[in-house]
Amino acid sequence: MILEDLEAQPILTSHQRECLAVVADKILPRTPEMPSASDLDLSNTLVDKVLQSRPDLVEPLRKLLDLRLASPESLTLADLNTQDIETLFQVVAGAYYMDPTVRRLIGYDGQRALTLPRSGFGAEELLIEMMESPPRYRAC
Amino acid sequence: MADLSTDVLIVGAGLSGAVVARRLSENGIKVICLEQGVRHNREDYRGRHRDWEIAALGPWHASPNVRRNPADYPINDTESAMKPLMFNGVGGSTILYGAHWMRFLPSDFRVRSLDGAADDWPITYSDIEPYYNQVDIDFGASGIAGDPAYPSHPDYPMPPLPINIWGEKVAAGHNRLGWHWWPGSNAIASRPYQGRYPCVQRSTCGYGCNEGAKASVDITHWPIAESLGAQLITEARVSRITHDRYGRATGAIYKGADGVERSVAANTTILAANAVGTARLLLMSHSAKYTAGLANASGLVGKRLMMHPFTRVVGFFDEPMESWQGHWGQSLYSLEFAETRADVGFIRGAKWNLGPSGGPLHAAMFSADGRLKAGEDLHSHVKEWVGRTAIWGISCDDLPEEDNTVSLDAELVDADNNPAPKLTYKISPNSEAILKFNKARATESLEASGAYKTISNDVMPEYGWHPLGTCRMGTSSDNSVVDQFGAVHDVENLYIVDGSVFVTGSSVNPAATIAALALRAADSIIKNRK
Repeated sequence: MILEDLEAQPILTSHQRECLAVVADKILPRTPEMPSASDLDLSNTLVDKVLQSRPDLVEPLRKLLDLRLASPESLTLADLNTQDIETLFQVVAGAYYMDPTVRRLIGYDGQRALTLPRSGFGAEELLIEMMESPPRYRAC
Repeated sequence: MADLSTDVLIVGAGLSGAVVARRLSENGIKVICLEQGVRHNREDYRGRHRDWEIAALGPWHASPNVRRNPADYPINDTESAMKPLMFNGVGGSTILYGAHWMRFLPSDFRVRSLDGAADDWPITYSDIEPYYNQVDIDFGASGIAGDPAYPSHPDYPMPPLPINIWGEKVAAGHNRLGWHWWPGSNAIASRPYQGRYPCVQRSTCGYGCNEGAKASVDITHWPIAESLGAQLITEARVSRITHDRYGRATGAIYKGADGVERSVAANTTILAANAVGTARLLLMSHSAKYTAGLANASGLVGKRLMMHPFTRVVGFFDEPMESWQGHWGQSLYSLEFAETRADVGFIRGAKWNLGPSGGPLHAAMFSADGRLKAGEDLHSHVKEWVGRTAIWGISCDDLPEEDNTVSLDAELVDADNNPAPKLTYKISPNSEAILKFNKARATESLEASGAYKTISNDVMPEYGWHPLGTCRMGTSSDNSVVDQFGAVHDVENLYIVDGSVFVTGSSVNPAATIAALALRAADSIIKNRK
C-alpha cells in the first residue's frame, strides 16, 4: 500500500479506532506515573502519524481490529499470534513513545545532535593500565 | 553484440565493489558497476525525525525480508538459525552498518594450525596489514592505536569518539576484573574529515547517518570513482554472468528499471554482491559448460556459510546516563575472550562491543524471554531501560561447515523472476558453547561495572549481520573457489572481492577486512594488466 492509497480513504474507521483504543489501553494502561494510551487519544492523531510512516502496517492492523470489533474488551494478548502482537505493539508503543508528554515523563528528550568533546574520549587514565599490559594476541 | 562494453564490470555497489571501483578508476581503468538498488540521499534517513524508531522497524529495517524495498530480493531463511541482514543500494550494507572498524587477529588466519579445526587462510595478517593501514585512511576511521590485542600498527587518522558515561563504568569494571577493553575503533569521523562532518552522537548509525559522519561508500568511494569516469548504473539487477565458449567470463546480463534486459561485455568481471548475493548469482549462472554453477569446480560455491551468531547482555544502572545518545558504533570493545583458551570446552571465541541503549520503542520491543511486556510491566521496563542501560553485543566466531549453505530456492523468486537464495544454517555446538560462556562473562562484566540487573538472550537470530565464506579462497580448485587475490580458479577473467572469500570468519566485525582484501584484489588486477 502506498501513501496515495491511504489518503484516498480514512486510514481507520471510527469503529476500528474505538477498538484500537480499548486494546491499546491493555498494552499501556494508566498508572500513577504514566497516562494510558486513551489519555493521549492515541488511537487518533498519534496512530495516524505511525501509519503515515509505516503504511505497511495499515492492512494488518485493520484485519486485526476487524476481527475484534464486536468485543475488544474481552481480548487478551494471549489470544493473538506472534505477527499480530508485533503489529499491535509497533503501532501502539510506536505511537505512545512519540508523544512529547510521555517522553518527558520517562526522561527521554529524543535523539539530539551533540557537539563532540575536545577534551578526549573520556577514560584516558583508565586506559593506561591496558596500554601497559603485555601483548595478548597469539603470535603465528 | 553487447549493449555496453567496458574494461571491468563490477556487480554490486556496496563496500567491496566501491573499494575496487575507486582503486581501478584511480589507475585509469574503465569501470561499469551494476547495482540493483538506488542512490539514497542523507535526508532520506529518519534519524533526526520523531518517527525514527518506528521507521527502523519497517522501511529502514536491515532485513530485506522485512524491508521489502523494490531493490531487495527475498531470502528463504526459514531453515537458518540466523537471519541475514544487508542493504541493497549504492553504498550497500555500509548505509546501515554500525561501522565497527576492526582488524582480524593474526590467529584468525591460522585456525587450522593453531586450533586444529577449519582451515588456514592462504595469506597471513602481515600480507593484509598494509591494506588495513590504507583502508583506515580511505574510510576515515577513528580510534587509538596501541591495543595489546593486536600487533602494533599506525594510529587511526582521527582520535576516538567519546566512550561516554556507560563506557567509563565498564572500562573501570574491566580494570577491576583485569579484563581487556579498548576504546572503540569506528569508521565514524570524530573530526571534520575529507568533506565529512564529525559525529553528532545521535546514535542512529544503524538507520543511515544524516551527517555523513559514518563512512558509507556512497560518500567515501563512489564520488571519487565516478569523478574519474566509473559508470554506476542503478536499478540494474543482474541475472547471470556470461562466458564464452572457452569458459572465460565475458560480462553479465541485467534487467534495468525499464524492464529491458541488457548485456555488458567486460574483459574482467568482478562479483561484489556479498556472501549471499554472489553465491546466488554464481549458482544462477549455470550453463551447459558449468552445470553446477559458475566457478564451482570445487563444489564449494554457496557452502561454508558463516553468520556470526550473536547475542546481547543488557546492564541496568541506577543513574541516568542519557545512553540513548552516543554512536552505534561501539563505545568500546573487549577481546578478552576472543582467542582460544584452555579448559573452557570450545575453541575460538567472541568479540564484545559496548553500545548505547536505543530509544523507548527499542526498549518496548526487546524481549529476553520471547514475550513482549504489557501493562504496568511495560511502563516500568521502558522507564528503567531508557538512558540507564548499556549493552554488550557478543559476536561469535562460528567455524565454516559445508552443511551451512546458500542455495537456490525451488519456488521463491525475486521481482524479476530470478530464483531467491535459500539459507540453511545451524549453530554448531562449539558456537553454542562460545555464546553461553561469553554471555555469562558479559553478565559478570556489567555487574562488576555497577549494573544492578542484567538481562540477556541465549542467541538473537535476527542479528545475522555478517554472512561470510560462501566462495572461500585457497590454493587450488580442489579446496577453494578463488585464489588469495580473489581470482576464480576455474573461470578466467572472473574475480570475487566480497566477504564470500573468507576462509574463517573471526569474531570481529568484517568490514575492514572485506575492504582490505578488496583493495588487495584491485591492486592484483592492476598489476596483472601491466
